[in-house]
Amino acid sequence: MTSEVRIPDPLHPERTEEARLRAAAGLAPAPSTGGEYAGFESVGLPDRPPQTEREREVYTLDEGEMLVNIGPQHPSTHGVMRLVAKVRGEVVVDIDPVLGYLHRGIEKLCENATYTTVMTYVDPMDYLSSMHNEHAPAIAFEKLYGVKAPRRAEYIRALVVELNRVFSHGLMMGFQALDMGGLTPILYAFINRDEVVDLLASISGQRMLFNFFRVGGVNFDANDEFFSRLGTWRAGVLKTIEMNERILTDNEIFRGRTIGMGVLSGSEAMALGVTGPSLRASGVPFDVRKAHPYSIYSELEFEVITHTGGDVYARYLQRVAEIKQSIHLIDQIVDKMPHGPVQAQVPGIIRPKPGRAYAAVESPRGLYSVYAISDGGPNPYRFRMRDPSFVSLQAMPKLMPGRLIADTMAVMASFDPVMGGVDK
Amino acid sequence: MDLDLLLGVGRFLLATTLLLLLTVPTAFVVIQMELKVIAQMQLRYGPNRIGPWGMFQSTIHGFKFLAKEDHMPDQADRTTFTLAPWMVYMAAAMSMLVIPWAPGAIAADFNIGIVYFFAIIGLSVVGMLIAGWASYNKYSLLGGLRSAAQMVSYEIPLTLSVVGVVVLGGTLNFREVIEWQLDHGWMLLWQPVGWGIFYIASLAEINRTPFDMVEADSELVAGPFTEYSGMRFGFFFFAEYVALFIMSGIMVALFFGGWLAPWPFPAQLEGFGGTLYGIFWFFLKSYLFVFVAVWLRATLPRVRVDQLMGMAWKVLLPLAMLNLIVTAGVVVWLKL
Amino acid sequence: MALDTKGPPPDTSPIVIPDLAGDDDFREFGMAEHPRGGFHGLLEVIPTRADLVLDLIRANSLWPLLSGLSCCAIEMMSSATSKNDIDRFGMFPFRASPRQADVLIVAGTLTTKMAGPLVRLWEQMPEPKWCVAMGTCTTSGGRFKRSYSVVQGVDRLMPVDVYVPGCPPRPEGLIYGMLRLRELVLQRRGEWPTYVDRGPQRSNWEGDVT
Repeated sequence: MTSEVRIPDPLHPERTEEARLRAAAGLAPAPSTGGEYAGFESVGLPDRPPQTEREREVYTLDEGEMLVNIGPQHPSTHGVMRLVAKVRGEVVVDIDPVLGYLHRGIEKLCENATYTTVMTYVDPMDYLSSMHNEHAPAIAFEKLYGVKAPRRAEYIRALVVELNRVFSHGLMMGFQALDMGGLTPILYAFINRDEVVDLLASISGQRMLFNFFRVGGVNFDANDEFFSRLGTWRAGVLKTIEMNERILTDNEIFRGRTIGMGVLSGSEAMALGVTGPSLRASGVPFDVRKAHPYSIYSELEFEVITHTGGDVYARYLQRVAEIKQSIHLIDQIVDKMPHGPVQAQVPGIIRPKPGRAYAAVESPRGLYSVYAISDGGPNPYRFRMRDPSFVSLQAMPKLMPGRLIADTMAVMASFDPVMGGVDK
Repeated sequence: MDLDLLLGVGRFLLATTLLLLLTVPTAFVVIQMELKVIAQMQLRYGPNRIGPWGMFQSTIHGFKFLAKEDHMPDQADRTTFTLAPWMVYMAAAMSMLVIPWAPGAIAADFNIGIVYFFAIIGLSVVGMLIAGWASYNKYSLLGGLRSAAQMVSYEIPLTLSVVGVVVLGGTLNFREVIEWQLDHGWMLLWQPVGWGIFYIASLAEINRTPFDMVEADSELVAGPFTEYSGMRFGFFFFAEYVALFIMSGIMVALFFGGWLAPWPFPAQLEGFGGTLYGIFWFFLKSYLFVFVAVWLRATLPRVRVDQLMGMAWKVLLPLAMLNLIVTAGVVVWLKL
Repeated sequence: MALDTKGPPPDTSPIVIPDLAGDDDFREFGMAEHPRGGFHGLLEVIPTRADLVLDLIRANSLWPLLSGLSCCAIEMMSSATSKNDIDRFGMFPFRASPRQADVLIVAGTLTTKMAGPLVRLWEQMPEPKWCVAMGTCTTSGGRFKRSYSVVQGVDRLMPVDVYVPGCPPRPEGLIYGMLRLRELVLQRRGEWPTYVDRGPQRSNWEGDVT
């Protein structure tokens, strides 16, 4: 006893708008195109003009080429991104990232939220660096409203932000290996990540999307439990990082696949707008923490780390070096942490004077900035974020032609994009 | 009818049935090793709910395939799609026929066992290729072509590395190779380079990390098996692990003395007890190499296609040729 | 335009369904008819406790699909890592291909653009299959309830067996949800279809790269 279920096909020639109008008006169906587009039935294209961009691309394929759809559900697209790769055998001829599969309308939601609740919406944007996501709006809104966070609050902010950077870069090491077929580094990275996240949960109350920053301060003060757990974590963190380094850094297969792969020169990276570790791995010493110091970074001692290779391996080494730099910064912050309040006097609903403010922070993926315009109301008139992973992805079509399919995954992982931030 | 013929046919049927049945527990044991060993290396417990220490988890995974829907894509080539899992599985099962388990315990002790083995194990590439073609899926197609390129390339150094053993032992029979090793010591001492080539090439031949280009999880979703579900996928899954055991077993037979015990123990015993003794040592050595393969899987990333092919043609093949020439020269010169 | 009220006379002749599947043979054989139409499958006919055994097997080998949508995906991966080892229950081999997966864990915000591919993934999974909605975004829209581009709950698209609340849920929460799913599998013994006639398969989807 079978029941035939026909799924309506929007591309079926009988179902086009024209065909339905013709049927309603009682006219004969449109005449066929006369075989101009015939011959593509074997790849699923009927004899009719192309209706989407991809279909048009199929007609322009050369002999021996094909389009491979990597994503939106694929093990190594870091979320829901789609890469349309034109391949000739194993060699990638062209690659075209298709975005928007995780577009959640965060900017629009923020424009309808009060300045305090904006923090809840920017949290899940770049979900591996939630603290950075909140840091930039907090600075921007403080500029708008004309309030300054207490010094202890600034120190706590810098502390949690650097902790966040440590686990984000640690996870990048793991994902880089996972996309190249190594199973274990990601698990070692998650050991460190779970410890940091639990640590941050003990200060913010949430495990992943922290919602910790407030306009004019932070939500909770760092208590003794937090510092005690921080000490425990600090004692063991270098060991967990080293476990991964020992598997990857000197691994002959890893080096063979990453050295000289996806080389992005400094000028190209700057022209594309790539920032953060990917830019510094190309030898450009640009770090927002040094170039435009915010929070308390002008009081801390650190140098901008650079690598010269500009390839996947240099970007990996850059992350490893920055983990150690962040741990060094954390030590300094804890040493210098002053006492005092952690929240300035700010009303529940703030109405800044009309104006505009811009704030940029160095997120694990690069320059993350926020531009907010106030019209005097309780919510921002315009709220715009610049996400670094969106810009980094632009380098993919430049780097990939001539490489192999397997390299696509390695190069993409080296930019460490997070789709939540790309699509907002 | 001739009684000898009848007995021979009966013995053959019994042996093949037993071996076919043996593939399933072998697959379960190897999969369980993979689950538990990788878990321990990743600082996890691994499965620990089914049976003592979770030792029946792989059995449950295996039987689950039977209870799943067997799905075939609409535009798949129906005949080849059905045929492919069988070809891959039968290649693994048939090559079990010549494995020397113990003195007197070889299903088919015939004089060209080594040739037979390399002929049969090469059949699985056909199964993979038609699985990739029949699935009507681009990832499958790429995986199938990768498997063809990889396995055909690595079969040459694999076979050439064994020719050195054959020249030294003067035989193509697995039993006689092991008996030669009883007199002269393990073949590893005579053919260390040959063993190195054989080990690398055998890992590539059965698609193990770091050469798992065919079922490359992070690149081609599951390679040629992308569209397979239910028991059809189960056959591929089993065949992969059975092949791992078989390759380890063949390596043990060729280079590590097969059923012969290592030095402080008596090399082999007589009678039925001797058979059990031989089986014990054979399994111990084989599973040691299965363990090493699992260890590699937990440690190494995957090589790239061009590196893989370059290694086969530019490094392993000349090395294997050189090894063969030197071996043959020494044998002729010393009149061994 | 006036409606044609008369029309042709209604066809009152009895509908003869050709016995293509050999249903009468099944009836003569004494096989019970299934309440949803058709006959009980072979596995359901065998008068033993086959269902019990099969469901025990299914419940202890739930392979999730390796499909993360957004934030919750990180916690889903965390549940499989060393600290919260979901592999203990036989749920670890995250399969990348939907053909080999049993459970679809919808981890993260589902947008309208991703809804089509996700439904397609669900349809590609072989029976019996289960769906776990992880996080508030997938149960109701969560913090993106008011967004213009977010599907307000994944249960508008596919049947959901277990909802795991939280934003995102802790890995322990997901493991608890998966264990509840395990109980569910054991409770609904024998109710899982082993084969579902999905009609002719759709070969072309909008936006396909061919």
